[in-house]
Amino acid sequence: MSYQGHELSYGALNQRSNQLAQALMDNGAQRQDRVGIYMYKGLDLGVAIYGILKAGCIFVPLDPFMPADRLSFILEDCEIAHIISSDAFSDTLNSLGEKHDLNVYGIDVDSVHKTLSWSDIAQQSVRCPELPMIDLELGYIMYTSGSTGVPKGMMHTHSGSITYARWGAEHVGLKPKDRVASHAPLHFDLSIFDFFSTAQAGATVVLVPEAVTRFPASWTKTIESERITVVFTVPHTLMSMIEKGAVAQRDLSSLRWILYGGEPYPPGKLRQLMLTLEDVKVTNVYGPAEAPSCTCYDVPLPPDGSNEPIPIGVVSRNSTDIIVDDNDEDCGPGQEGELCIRSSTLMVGYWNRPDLNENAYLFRESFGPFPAVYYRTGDRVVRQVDGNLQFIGRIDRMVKVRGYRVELDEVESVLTGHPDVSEAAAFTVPDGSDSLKIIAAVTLAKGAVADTADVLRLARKKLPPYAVPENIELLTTLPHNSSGKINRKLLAEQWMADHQA
Amino acid sequence: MKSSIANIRQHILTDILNDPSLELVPEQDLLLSGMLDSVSVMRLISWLENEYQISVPAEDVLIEHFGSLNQIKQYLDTRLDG
Repeated sequence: MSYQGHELSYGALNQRSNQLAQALMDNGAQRQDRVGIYMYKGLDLGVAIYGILKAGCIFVPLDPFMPADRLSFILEDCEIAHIISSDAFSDTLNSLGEKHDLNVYGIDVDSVHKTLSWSDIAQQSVRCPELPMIDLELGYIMYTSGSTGVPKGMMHTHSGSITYARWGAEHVGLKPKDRVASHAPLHFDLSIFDFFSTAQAGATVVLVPEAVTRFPASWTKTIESERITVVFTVPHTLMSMIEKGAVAQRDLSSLRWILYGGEPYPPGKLRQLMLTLEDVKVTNVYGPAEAPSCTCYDVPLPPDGSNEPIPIGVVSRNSTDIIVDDNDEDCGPGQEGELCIRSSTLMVGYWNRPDLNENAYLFRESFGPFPAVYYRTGDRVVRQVDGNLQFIGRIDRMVKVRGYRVELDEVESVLTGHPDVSEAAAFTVPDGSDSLKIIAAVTLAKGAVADTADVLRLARKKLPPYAVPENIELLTTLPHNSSGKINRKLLAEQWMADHQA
Repeated sequence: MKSSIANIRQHILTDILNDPSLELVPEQDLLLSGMLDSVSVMRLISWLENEYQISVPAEDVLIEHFGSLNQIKQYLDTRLDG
């Protein structure tokens, strides 16, 4: 593992994660307890992942940029009592002291919680705990936006993650000499490839600091200086890299394979990427975080001037798919419908949410009493004549903003949570660089005095940064259509007309 | 024209973040605090180009130039002097 010139060998990682596992168990962490990882990218992040797994616990990535309220919700939702963190987060963790009683690992400063520093942990035995674990137990729970206003946690088994990791390592042909960038945040499912596919091959994972990911020219500098060979990221990162990454001044010849996912890549832009990085292979990886990397497509150079969307390909090994219509009947050839996936990378379900689990799956008769369980992706697709799946859109109001998954219903439910807001509508408009941005329109209750800054402040307090509307407009009324629903399409059109200039 | 931290600060709070009440001191890390994402960074740079009549080449859009108000001022001053 490598981070800004510091390195951790497999041997050191093994030893330090064994010690963390021992410390967790000493402090009462039980097998399958949920343990939070709340820190920026750094070598300790890798130690945290493996330390937690070796203690038989489940790691829960906590977005370091999420507001304290959301963090508090997740800690409570999956009953986190142990958290691996760093000094940078001690103030936030202290502010949660009234509600949460935590064991915090990896911090040196005074805290209202019980703490252990890394030097305390280094006193522990270097023996790996021996636990009778099986691969159907949970390895991680990843939280994502929920449409009802609270995040939901996807439960993933060791067996699912191993399938995913092996698929990644084999597809790309990872070798020990590879240097795989960890560009995506840990709470993104792409990180499972970064950490575990790399480990399958005995290769090096190069952790990219969060700040670097915001600066295309710093990112290309990192590729060059770290001799990155493989990266899995979102189209937004790659498009800004080509447009603003000063690629002409960089030697990017180490790169050999780019995987992307999260949202469609405009074909013209992808052509530009592939012409700029001539010898680099490109794979479009599809799969909601509930069923990561369930299909993929190795992209040939899109023809000049082509607007033909890039297919999401065919199912990966250990996955199968069906496309169903509104009545859950199989679609005929060429017919659009919802993609349902059966895969060993499939999550076990949403943590603590029987209501969601009831509707998340489609059951098909298999043999005897055992039904085949498919996950309903919510994605509309069509199977092309050549067998490749083509993504068409969503069946609900989930959107992708620069690769981040956002439920517009959640944004609205947060906004209407403001005491002065009467109605709220969230919608997306093009952001001018091939992705979308979120805009909201609200009306105020009679006599209310709130301004947009007040409403924005609440949004920042409740939502992850990427889900906070870029603009909130105060309107006197919102347009409704004949069925009484807010006409968000009209709002988006009006917004675009007003902001065309 | 001389660059001014107060001017840049006001632009970030009022025009990019739409909330003048937020706390922002010159040495604060604009990125790790989560204050600016990749899109806000680009908006900030195009505003700086306009405001100070300079052009910021892609090669200069690096963390070490835009990580805090102090760093932004430092970068602008080298550009405005030259």
